[in-house]
Amino acid sequence: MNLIINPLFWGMAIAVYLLLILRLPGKLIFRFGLFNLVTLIILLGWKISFVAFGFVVSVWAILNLLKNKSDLSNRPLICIGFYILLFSLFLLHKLNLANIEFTSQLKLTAPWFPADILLSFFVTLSFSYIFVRCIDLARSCIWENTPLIDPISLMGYLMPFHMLVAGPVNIYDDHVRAEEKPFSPMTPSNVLLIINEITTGLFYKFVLSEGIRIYFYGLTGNILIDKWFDPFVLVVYVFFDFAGYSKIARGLGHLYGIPTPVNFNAPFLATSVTEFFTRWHMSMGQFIRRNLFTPIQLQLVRRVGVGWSSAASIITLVISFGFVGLWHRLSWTWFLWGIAMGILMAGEKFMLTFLIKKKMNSAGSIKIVTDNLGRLYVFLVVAITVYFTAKETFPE
Amino acid sequence: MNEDPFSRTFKNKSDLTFLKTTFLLTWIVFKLTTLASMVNQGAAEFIYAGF
Repeated sequence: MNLIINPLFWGMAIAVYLLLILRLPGKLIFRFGLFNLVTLIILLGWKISFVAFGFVVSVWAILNLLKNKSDLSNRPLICIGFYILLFSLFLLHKLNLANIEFTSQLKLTAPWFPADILLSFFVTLSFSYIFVRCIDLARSCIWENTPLIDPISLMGYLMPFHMLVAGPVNIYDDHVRAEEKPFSPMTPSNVLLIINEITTGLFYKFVLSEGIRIYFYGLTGNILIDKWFDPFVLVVYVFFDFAGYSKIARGLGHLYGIPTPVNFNAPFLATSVTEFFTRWHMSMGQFIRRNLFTPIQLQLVRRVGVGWSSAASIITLVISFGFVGLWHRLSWTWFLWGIAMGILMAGEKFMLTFLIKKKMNSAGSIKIVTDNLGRLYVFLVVAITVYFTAKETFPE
Repeated sequence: MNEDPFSRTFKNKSDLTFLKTTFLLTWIVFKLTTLASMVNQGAAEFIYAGF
């Protein structure tokens, strides 16, 4: 059964809220981490939760070593080793998602490797999200001096049960400072607003998104790209599915006072692809900006000089979106999707600079027309990308 | 920390009017009713893509 409609999930969600408002001793993130661990054990079983906690403790131990032992002689080596290990695990997870036979093949070639338990842990806990959270955590702790929290609290950051299915990508700095910026007190009105957010998420996912799927493909039918309008249907379907999950997570995050970033902000109102990616899967876009775009851009500009910053930003955009493509699926199709999006956005950047230089950027009534044409263009671009990537996103 | 329309609504309106509360409750009940009918059909089993 889908985790989100499992009554046990909602029972635990309410139990966590009630336990948090009891104001037991300890920091909010520690208490949340503890209740989150118990929730994972109840929802997923002790085996998966044990592996998950083992993973968190290992990450914590490595970062603790890097952070607190300043006299460490082989510090760069441990740092590189940590990233290599993380990327290797991510690669294993992606290979497993791409190939049904992967686990059995791995068991044949490396019988000593605990493929069954490790790979099922990756799939159950959506390791792609844990991977990006680990990157954010490492950047904050190693390079920016954000304090490293204890393993129990860290579990609440890396594997929060309410963000398990589809993110969003939460920010480590925000999680650490959860208590410094508390939300408003839980008045009945605020609780009602939160319930409204959660039920809207459920409505998006299980009524609108699933309604679209059943209407076009049948209750048990596969999602296929057969007719000309299928990509357009799929864009709307994916939006309600993904935005639905995000709203549920956001609502629960607000209820607990645990920072859970916003993921969608009316993406189809965007007038360019560049703007679209600031409104669609926003937490991922912000992650890319923090961890990939800004550091690479800074390094490139330092090397080539400010005069070449535009060229540097094009290269950075292409690299960043190449990564986003591979994060979705480890395939040439998704990699080329990322590269294409990067090039398209670089093209938009050039076009905008050109229009501003020539003072041709539209205003007033012309702006209404160009904005609407822009929205149509964005929807078409997204539908075209869905056409090319659907076979891998919706396997038969 | 990210600010978004939902957070702003949440922070600024600590008390809802009677009319807004009634509207919200009706809307929530409507959503839950349609959700229950979909789940009863077995419609919610499908997960589109794993990450």
